[in-house]
Amino acid sequence: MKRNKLIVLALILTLSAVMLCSCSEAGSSGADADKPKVTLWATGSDNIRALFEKAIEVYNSKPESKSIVELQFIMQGSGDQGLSDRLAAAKLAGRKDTDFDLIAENGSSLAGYIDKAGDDLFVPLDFSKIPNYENVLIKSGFYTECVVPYRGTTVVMAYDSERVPDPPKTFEELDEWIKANPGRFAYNSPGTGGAGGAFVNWALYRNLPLEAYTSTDEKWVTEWESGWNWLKEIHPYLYQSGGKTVYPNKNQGALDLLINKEVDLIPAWADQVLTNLANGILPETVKIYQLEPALSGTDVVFAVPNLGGNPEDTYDFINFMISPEGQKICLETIFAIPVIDVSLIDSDAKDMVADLDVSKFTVISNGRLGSIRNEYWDNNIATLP
Amino acid sequence: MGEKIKLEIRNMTKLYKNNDGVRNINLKVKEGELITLLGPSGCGKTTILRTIGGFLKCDSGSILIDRKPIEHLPPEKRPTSIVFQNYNLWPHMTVYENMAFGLKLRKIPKAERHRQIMEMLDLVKMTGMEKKYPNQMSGGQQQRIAIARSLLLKPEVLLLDEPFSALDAKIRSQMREELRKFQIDLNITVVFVTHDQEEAMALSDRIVVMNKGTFEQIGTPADVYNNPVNKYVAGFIGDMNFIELADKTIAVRPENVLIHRGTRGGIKGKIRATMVLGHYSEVTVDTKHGIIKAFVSCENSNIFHPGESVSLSFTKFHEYDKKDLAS
Amino acid sequence: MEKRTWKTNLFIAAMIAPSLILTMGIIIYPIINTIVTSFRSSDGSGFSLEYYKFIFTDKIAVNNITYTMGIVIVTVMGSIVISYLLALYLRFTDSKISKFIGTMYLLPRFIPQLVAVYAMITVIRDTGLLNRISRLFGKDFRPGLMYNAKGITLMNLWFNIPFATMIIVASLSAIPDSVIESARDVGAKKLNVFFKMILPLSFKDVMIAMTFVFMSNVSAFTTPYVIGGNNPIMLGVYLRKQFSEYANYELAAALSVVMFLFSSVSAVIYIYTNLKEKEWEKV
Repeated sequence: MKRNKLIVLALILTLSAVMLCSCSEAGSSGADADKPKVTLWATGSDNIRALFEKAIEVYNSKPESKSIVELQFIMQGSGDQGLSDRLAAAKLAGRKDTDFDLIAENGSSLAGYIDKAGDDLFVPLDFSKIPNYENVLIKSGFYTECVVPYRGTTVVMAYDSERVPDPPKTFEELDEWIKANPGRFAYNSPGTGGAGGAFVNWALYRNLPLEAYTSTDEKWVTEWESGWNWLKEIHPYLYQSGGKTVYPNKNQGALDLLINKEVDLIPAWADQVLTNLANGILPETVKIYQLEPALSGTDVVFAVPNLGGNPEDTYDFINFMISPEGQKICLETIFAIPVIDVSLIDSDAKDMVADLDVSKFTVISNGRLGSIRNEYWDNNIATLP
Repeated sequence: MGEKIKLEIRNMTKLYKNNDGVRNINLKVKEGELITLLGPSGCGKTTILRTIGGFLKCDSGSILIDRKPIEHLPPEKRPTSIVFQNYNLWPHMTVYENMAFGLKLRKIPKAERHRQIMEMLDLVKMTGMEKKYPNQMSGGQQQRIAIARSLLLKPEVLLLDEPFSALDAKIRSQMREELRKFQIDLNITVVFVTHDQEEAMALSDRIVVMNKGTFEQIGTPADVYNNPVNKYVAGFIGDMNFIELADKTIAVRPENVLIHRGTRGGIKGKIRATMVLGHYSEVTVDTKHGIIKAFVSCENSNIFHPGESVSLSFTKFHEYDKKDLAS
Repeated sequence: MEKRTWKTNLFIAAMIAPSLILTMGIIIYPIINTIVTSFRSSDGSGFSLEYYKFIFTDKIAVNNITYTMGIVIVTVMGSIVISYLLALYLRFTDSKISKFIGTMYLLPRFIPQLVAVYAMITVIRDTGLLNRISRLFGKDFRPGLMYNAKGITLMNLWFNIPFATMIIVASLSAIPDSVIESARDVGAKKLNVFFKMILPLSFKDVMIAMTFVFMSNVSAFTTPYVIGGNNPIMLGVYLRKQFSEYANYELAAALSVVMFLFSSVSAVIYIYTNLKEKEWEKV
């Protein structure tokens, strides 16, 4: 009897494998077979997935488009292996047959990619083949020759104006406000989302020289001391649950606290707050503003990994994304900060991002120091009683 | 068997949600008597047994043992013991543990327990099996232990719910004989449920013939066999020929049918077949009333040949009014 | 069974081959790889036990292990006890309510894990459903279940009770009514029936349910990641942090070996209870 069961089991496994294969075959149709296929890899929260699904749908349906774009999306914090690890693995294995044709990533994160995979991970681009590039107002600070910024994103402070009429703007005001309003401020644990990470960076780099902002040199780690001390100092005054200070997980975790009025003030990604405001999840009384100095933001860029793909195939899609039409999609889908002159974009939403000028961002790009920061935070801040 | 009434059921009714069940049951069982509830499946015989055992609550009426009402007691407090058709024994306990369980609950000291168990095993001829687990024994052995386990607790009334139906024919008749022997030796009052009329005839002091939740007839096996009160009982017990007339039904047992050469008998017919069944033969005769079966002794069987014209007469028969049956 | 011919043997081999190759490729090879990585020394000179030493001496790591074990043990005990009571009710009560529960209790198993976790959060968070109900009555009840072991345990129970109930109900259904009725017949009261009949007859399946609940919770990730706090954290979350946040691949490997060993303790119990047929279970 046991043997019979085994045979049946093997049969089922084989059949399902066959079916899976045939299903995935059926997915690709031959209609646009003459256009090259470009696989775009992106990572982030769900709104980024929504953005690219929308943009790709518009792009692919245009007859004049020169390629067919497919999205591979890695949800942040889902436990999946990160995009940088995948690229590094493919690069270090010397593979040339991958489908990593194009990636979309924060400019400030690229240092981490280079750290893992080596200097030649990205292919220099021929900007003459991306005509709209000349309208782009900012040129990325890193690997300028390899990347095209398509939107800006920054962490801001979000607050409930009903309960906080006059939110704290400077370090001194914030320090005072947090201590005067125990339990009403929260930031998410930095390893689980960029908003909390930006807030921790703000504390660590506030008094450091500008060169530290873009350095991956470990010597700066020792300079973080006073920043850590301040984070430890405010720990008892942060959001509490069950009688203990807790840090929510993921960017959304902190936003949820604000949505549920459990806190009044959080650092959050501007686009996430604006999206949640637009669809009514956040109460209308929630507003955003920037600290002085500003919480870090970044340009978000396209880059072509040096893993066998043909950069030429990707230019048309990149060009579309930085066209006024592409920028409008970014603005209206996720309230992304445009990289071209806002006046070129025909949209009602542009007022909402009017104050957030992408060229004035504080950019912190410290590569693997980010891991050191997260580990230190987990071991020394999270463990505080 | 004494004259003392051991078990009495008074006006008992137990109905299920679908309105099946038993209605207005009255029954008296004497001490040391083996009474059989006989009927087809679904007639309510098991329902009665389970209400006596306490596994079903009766809707109305009462059940008395030694004149004390017991219908309100849970099974564990009733002086009855039941043996089911199968899975009686606890599979995770040895024969010895199975038998000791009830005695332990009664706080009988260990040495005394041991003596009683060994004595009972001896009585049912199962000595040496005490360390066996139920699944290491045959079905017959298991039922023997199940009965022994019940007997050990000296119940006032032993309830047997088709205990032998899962066994094969040879073991079944052997077990029947043994049961009858213990029952008489130990003078136990037994209510026995079966759908097998042969089993009922072989075992019982009295038989209760049941149909659709009511009693059709109560009587000794001979009584029920010789004088069935209605067509239903007549048909259920033993072989019976039925001759349908306009206003009545004539019932004749095959052994009461005489076959005559020529036309001396009242009913004419032709021999259809003869079949030797051991010490007698069965002769079937085609008549205008249908096929009539007759038993003749073996010596006489070879004088009739298929196709031969004969006539039949009855030494004994029963008449049932069709109107009665309809009512 | 009839004697096998070489054809049947070939057929069996052909049928098993795909899954065997798949198993070798996606399970055996990574396991070996992980074990080797976990013994690497940090200076790259060879092999050492330093990562294992770290896991069992570092204060935070040890704290995470005890925290995880605490949650898992409470989860196992809680879900088994509740499931057993529920299974007893479903098996021995014949009413509309028990039939309704009998058809509904498996429902949580069909709800995707993340959906269930977020649904639970909307109920138990300090401003969640419970809080809102309390506010209707003029109170401000804050459950305090988020970001700590209580919330994780509650969620784990939610997931594991249906599973454990399913196994125990199947086990109890296999006990014939006559076994229980004969026990009552010889004078056993309900408690006696439970401890002398039902429990020993279902013990093996209870052990199996326990080992499954233990194994699936010792390496849990989603629930502790979303509901749990920042410190201590369950091993699944700790492992992910080591791997994808701090890029401590050797430590992550050692940690997964340790988690594997924790699971295998219960796997051994599972295999042992399954293989060790008691005398009475042999056919």
